[in-house]
Amino acid sequence: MTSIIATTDLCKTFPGAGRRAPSVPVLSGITLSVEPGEMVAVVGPSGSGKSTLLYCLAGLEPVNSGSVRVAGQEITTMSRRRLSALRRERMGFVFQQYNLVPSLSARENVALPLRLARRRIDHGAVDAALDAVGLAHRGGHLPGRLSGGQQQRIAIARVLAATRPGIVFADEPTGALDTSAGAAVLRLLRSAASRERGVVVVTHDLEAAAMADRVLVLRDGVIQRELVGATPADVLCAIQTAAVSA
Amino acid sequence: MIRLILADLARSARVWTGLFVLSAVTGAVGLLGVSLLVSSGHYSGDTRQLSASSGQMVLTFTSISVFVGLAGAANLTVAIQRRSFALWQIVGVRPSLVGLVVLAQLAIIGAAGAATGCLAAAPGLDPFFTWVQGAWTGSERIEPHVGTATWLGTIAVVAGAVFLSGLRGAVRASRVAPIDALREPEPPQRGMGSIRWVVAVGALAGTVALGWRLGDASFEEQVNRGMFLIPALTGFLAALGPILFPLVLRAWTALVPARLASSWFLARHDARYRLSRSTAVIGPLMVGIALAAGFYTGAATFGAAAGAAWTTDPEVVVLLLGGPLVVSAASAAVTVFMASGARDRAAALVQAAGGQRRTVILAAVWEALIHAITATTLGTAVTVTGAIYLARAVRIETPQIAWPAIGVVAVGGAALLLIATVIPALSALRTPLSRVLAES
Repeated sequence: MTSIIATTDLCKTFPGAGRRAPSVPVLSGITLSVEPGEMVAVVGPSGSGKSTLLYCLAGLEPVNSGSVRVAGQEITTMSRRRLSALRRERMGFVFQQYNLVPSLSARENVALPLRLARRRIDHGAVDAALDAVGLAHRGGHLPGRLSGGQQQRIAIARVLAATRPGIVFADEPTGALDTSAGAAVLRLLRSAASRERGVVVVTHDLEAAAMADRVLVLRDGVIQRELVGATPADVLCAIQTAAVSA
Repeated sequence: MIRLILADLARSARVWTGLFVLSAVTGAVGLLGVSLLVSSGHYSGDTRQLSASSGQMVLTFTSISVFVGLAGAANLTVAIQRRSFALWQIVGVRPSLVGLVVLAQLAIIGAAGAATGCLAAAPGLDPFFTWVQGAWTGSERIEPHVGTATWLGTIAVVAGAVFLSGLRGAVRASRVAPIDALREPEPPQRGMGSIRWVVAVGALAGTVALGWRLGDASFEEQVNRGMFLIPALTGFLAALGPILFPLVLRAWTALVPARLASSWFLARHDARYRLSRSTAVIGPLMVGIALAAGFYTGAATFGAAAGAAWTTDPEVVVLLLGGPLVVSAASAAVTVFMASGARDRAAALVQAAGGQRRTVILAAVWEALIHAITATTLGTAVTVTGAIYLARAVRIETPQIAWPAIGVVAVGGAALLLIATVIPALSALRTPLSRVLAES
């Protein structure tokens, strides 16, 4: 079975602050894979490179070296046009906030990737996706009229409505939510990982990380540990150990 | 409080720069008009009358553009910073202080901009008077007489106009619940304030007074009143902008199907959603079209009634329409520039959803065209209405509508809006997606 994401020796550096300042390595030699049906959490202290890793995996941030394959396709050498098409058809994003285009209603946001792909919009599928996240009754509302948790759920509905499921990237999806709204979003993300779809979650939330099949502990741009079937206590211990060993 | 005012001015430089530039342009045009009026007092006879009437006309025509342009820009200045004002309240700044700070900022920027504009215009006073003299025949040479009082008066009037234009927005900024502002950074468009209603009623009364029994008046009186009819009607519609412009925009954009292109779909929704910005952009362009076309329509109508072609000296046209058109053009461009800060995120969100860069650029092009077409529709409606009324009043069969003037100003305005909209969109595409999306 083809991994939905596979990276080999991925490296990323940011330029230094001044002209003569040395560049700053952010990710070093990252090799990982995400299989369909799998939910993978990336944890680590602030500044460890978690979000940068997510953006590199999604092709939102160019890499300096190494390989990133999404659904079997190498994205580091892909043209912008093909990358847009791949993003539209196979990727979904859930950010901490401002997930949605503010001028479009919830229903229009869910259908946006289909519209951008010039595909016929299956309104039944859009409504089903809204129903799956429990927001069928809020489809006509603008994002500004929805709570943070509801906006996150709409973002997930957008992923569910895509006709060719691939990978969901979630960056601190529960960071701005209360406990119950966060739990609802996590359950939806968990259920989004299906036979054809993988989920990558960057989080500080131990409970969120513990819901994943695997947890990658990142420190200074390097994967220091990998946990399988971890509890929140295991995740906390791994993060603390990584901090001490560094 | 002074630290808060200055720090915020520096942080929101793009927004305040726009208002500063517009105040400067208004100050420069205002000084030229006022100098004609003030200098007339030093002469007598025809020279005095020519100078005074020229100054009055420049100021009357320009005041419509200034009212629309400054009102839109000042309101937008406050609307764009709604989120910042909410954050101030969250960190403990009293709501009343928020309003005070915003008003102080408006007054500072208005005064500084007007002073800069006056300073920039000062060296041009002598050449301006020499050039204006070319439009007059048989009058003695006049010199500009501009004293400190004229300078200070012009600066005070422009600063006061900026202050009053932003007053309602500032009061609303201090009353909005912080959490509402954070959740919905773009304020919902709300009807008209009392100042706008007063201006609308005044402009309507002026329109009625100018048009009342115009057909029964002498030809000279018809000319004197008729030439101001379309500008007065323009002022009335411009004052109703917050109600009227969104209606027209929604009505005609609904006729074009959303499936035309995803870029059209995005632009249409954005123009309808960001009504403060749309109103602020449409107003000045509509005024520019209606004033220019109204002038030529009036001239052609009275020329036809007199049975001879009515020639208009280029100097007279530039003298009467130059100021309003410059202020209108500056208002439209500056407004788009001020509001372009939101483009980075909008472009990033569309790209994250799988949109191509081409889609983002095309959406910006559509957006500029939506604003330009709405303004042209309104400006044309005013001109055609005025032309039909004037034609009936002077008893000619065919209304003399100045289509070339409508076309020239509309195309020029559309080109200006395209440049002002597309350049920030291209700039937004240069910002790394990850950085924009990571910012909260």
